[in-house]
Parts: sequence; C-alpha cells; structure tokens
Amino acid sequence: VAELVQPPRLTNADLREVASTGGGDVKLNYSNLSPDLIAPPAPALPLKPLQLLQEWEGTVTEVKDESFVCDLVDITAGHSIPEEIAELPIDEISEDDRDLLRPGALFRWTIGYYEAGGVRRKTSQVQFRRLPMWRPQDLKKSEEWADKMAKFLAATGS
Amino acid sequence: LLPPLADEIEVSLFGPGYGEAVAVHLGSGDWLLVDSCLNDDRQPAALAYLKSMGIDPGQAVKLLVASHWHDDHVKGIADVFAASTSATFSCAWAMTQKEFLQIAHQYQASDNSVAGSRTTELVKIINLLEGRPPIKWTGADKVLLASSGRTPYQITSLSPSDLRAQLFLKEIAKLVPVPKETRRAAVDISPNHVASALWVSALGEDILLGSDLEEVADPNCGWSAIVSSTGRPAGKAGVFKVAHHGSLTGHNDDVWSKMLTAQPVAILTPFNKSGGLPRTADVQRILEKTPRGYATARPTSKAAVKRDKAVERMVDSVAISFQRAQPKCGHIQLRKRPGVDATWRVSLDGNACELKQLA
Repeated sequence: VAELVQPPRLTNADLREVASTGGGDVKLNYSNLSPDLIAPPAPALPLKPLQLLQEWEGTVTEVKDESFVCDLVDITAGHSIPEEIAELPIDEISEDDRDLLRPGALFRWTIGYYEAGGVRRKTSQVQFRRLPMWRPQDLKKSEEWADKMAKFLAATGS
Repeated sequence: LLPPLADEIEVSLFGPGYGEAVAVHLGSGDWLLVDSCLNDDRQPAALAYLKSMGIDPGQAVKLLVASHWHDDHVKGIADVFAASTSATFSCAWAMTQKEFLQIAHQYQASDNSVAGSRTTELVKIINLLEGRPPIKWTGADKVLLASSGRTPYQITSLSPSDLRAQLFLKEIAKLVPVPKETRRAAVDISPNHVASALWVSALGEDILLGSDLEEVADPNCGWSAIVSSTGRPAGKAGVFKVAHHGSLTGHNDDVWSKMLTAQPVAILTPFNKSGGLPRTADVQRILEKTPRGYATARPTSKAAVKRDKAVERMVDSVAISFQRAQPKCGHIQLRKRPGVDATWRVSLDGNACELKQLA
C-alpha cells in the first residue's frame, strides 16, 4: 500500500532560504507521483525545526503596510519580559496566519535547523497563536468585577 | 549607598531605555515614587534602590503615583505598592472608572503571553487597595499629599484635565473585547490622554515631573492648559523631568520660560521604540534651554544581545530592524541641601550619561 506523501508547507522564509543557498537538491520532486497519492497540504503543520536554536514570543505592537513591529521575549534564555524589539516583514507570515495580524496578537518566532531530503537547512518561522475566543461568560465576569471595584473606589477615593 | 540626610532633597530617575521610574526624597525620610520600571536584576528599580540604602519602603513611601498606564511606566508597580504598605496610591480618575477596569480585568484574566499583561499590574493594585489609604485621583491643580511637619512638602498634580479624561475613556472603548473575538494582549494607545504631570515642593525647592504629557492642538489640554492655569502652584522649578522622553510633542516653550528657573537641571529617560526618543533635534532643543541635561541610557546600548552566529545571521536576513528594548538600566541621582548647596549635585550610575552624548 502506497503511503500518502505530505508535501512540505514551505513558508516565504523557507523559500528565501532555498533561494539564498541556491536550492540544490533540497527541493523534493513530486512530479513523478500520481496526483491521488499526494495528500492536500497540511493546514496547521508547518515544518518543525529538528534543532531549535532560538525561540522568541512576540507581541505585535504596530502594524504597517508591509511590516509589523513587535516586542520579543527570549524564550530560549528563559526570560519573561520583552527585552528586544523587532520590525519584521509581513512576508514572513504565512497566508493562513495573516488574518491574525493585529496589535496585541501573539506569535512564536523560531530559528533552527531542519532536514529535508537528507539536507540540513536553516529556517526562520513566524507562527501566530490562535488563542481562544473571548466567551460571553468571561466578559460578564470582568464586567461584574469592574462594577464592584469602581463603586468601591468611587466611595473611598477623592 | 547612603540615604539622603533629613534636610536633603533628592530626585532619582531610573530608566533602562524602555521604562521609567522616579523616586523623590521629600525630607525627613518621606519618599514619593512615580511609575515603575525594572532594573538589570529585573526588580522594580526604585524599590531596589530604597532597599539598597537600608530604607524600609513600608514606612518611607508616602505616595505612589501611576502617572499613566503605558507599559514602559508600570513594570513592577504592583510589587512596589505591595511593599509600600503605608503609601497612598494615586492615578487618574479615568483609570478607576468601570470602563477601564473592565478592560483591564478582561485582558489580564485572559492573557496567555509569557510576558503577562500591563493591565495585570493595575488589577493587582486595585485588589490590594482594601485596607489601604483611600486612592487619590490626579487632576488639574489637585493637592495629592501635603505635610506640615518639620520638613513641609506638597505634591500637586497638574493634569489630566476632565476633558482629557473623557477623551481617554472614549479611546479605550476601542479596546473593549466582544464575544467570539480572538483573545489578544493589551497594547498602548496614543496619544496618552491621562498622563499626570506633578509639581513637588519640598524643603523650599520646586520640581516638575512631566510624565508623558504631550501637547495637543487644543489649548485647553496638555501643557498649554497647565501653563495658563491660575490654580497651579506658584514658583519656578529647578529640576525638570522632561516630558515624554524629550519628544517635540511633549515640548512647550512656555513651560521653560514660565515654570522653570533659568537653566534648570533637565533629566529624561529615552524610549527605544518606534524610531526612538529623544531624536537628535530633541536633544539640541533641550540643550539650547539648559546645558545641564542628563539621560538614563545611551543610544549605543541598543545593540542586541550576542547569540549563536547562525541565529544572528538569520535575524539579519529576516528582520528589518532588531534591537534591545531594555539595555542596561541607568540612574540619575540629584541631591541638594537647601541652604548648604548652591546647586544640585548630580551622580550618574549604570547607563546614565550627559544629554549631549545623545546628540
């Protein structure tokens, strides 16, 4: 039984890496496979670095026409406060994630090595986090807390 | 480190390039703290400073002011308030209204980031207020704290105006999450409508702490409103914590001519984001007003931390810009014994430097 072959879901960063290294034999050739053996691209399974060199958590602070500004927390170093600021091109974000790009959005930026076709390549991946939605009951809870505290502060403050 | 003498006034400004905290010795061991940032040990800078001099913040800190809620001014402020057990907390009235509190609670309750949310600090403080002295709201020409003891002092807020407070509530309404909206982290909104500028009178000296107050087109708001107010304290300040990191939008000529002495000591914290502040033109403008300018951080300290060469090469190829948000923290200490010292004594520590080095 033939196993379905999952074509890699290359990001723009991967394509640029391939271009910068001249590509070589890192490209996989699917042209000789029957179309029904090729599975559709996996929607949420980007390439995972086999060797992670660096990981940041980013928070988008400003969105420009072709880039975005973000605060970065160095996860690799075990930090918990943003110590670096970057401006990254929107091209770094996969098409699937672009609807998530807005101030306050959270993402992971990883740099590492992975292997494809037996060749080790360096990769940079920006992956936005699909956080849960705000639920009505959460918002209600906040409203009740705010109402109680605002009344307390109004009664005691001056 | 030795604490100031009972009759010695001190103004200390801390800033790591992205962040700001002020500590003022009002005399007789009483302290005012304004805002909070973290030092190189990731501790609230002003709190660590007091402790390093053997000062108990629980006894010494009489007033803690959150001049506004921007991220670079509130890091660690809840820890400062927790340690300052006898202090009164002060912030703009608008920051205690239901609309803002609701947003603060929503963002902190649903925050999933490693860094945590800036609104978490405010929610923590509100939860600590029970059993503490009543909150004092800042506003135009409002006395926040006064002492008529052996070393009398008075702290007066000069802003925000009621009009600005209403504008703030209108602006933050845009941040209110709605059901089924994807959660996100809270972000700063600009312009900042509720920055609280403060006037400190102690031991016969006047100090103007400009917060991040910006000038706006409306003469009834911002610095124009303060300058033209007949209710603000009389006198001219010899120390100016320059507003909004020295930016042009924080500048008003009349502040320099009507509210400050000739050639005052001007101190500021840089802002290592969005192109950075102060810009060269800002530095030159301030130095034209006074040669005694100081900053808590140098621009050269923006260089990112050293990493694996492969990581650095990839960052260079991907990022349009990449810099350190929080370089080494700097500390400007000003001390003066009225009647003994003719001028302010200036000590620079850590990353602090003369302002002319930023030109």
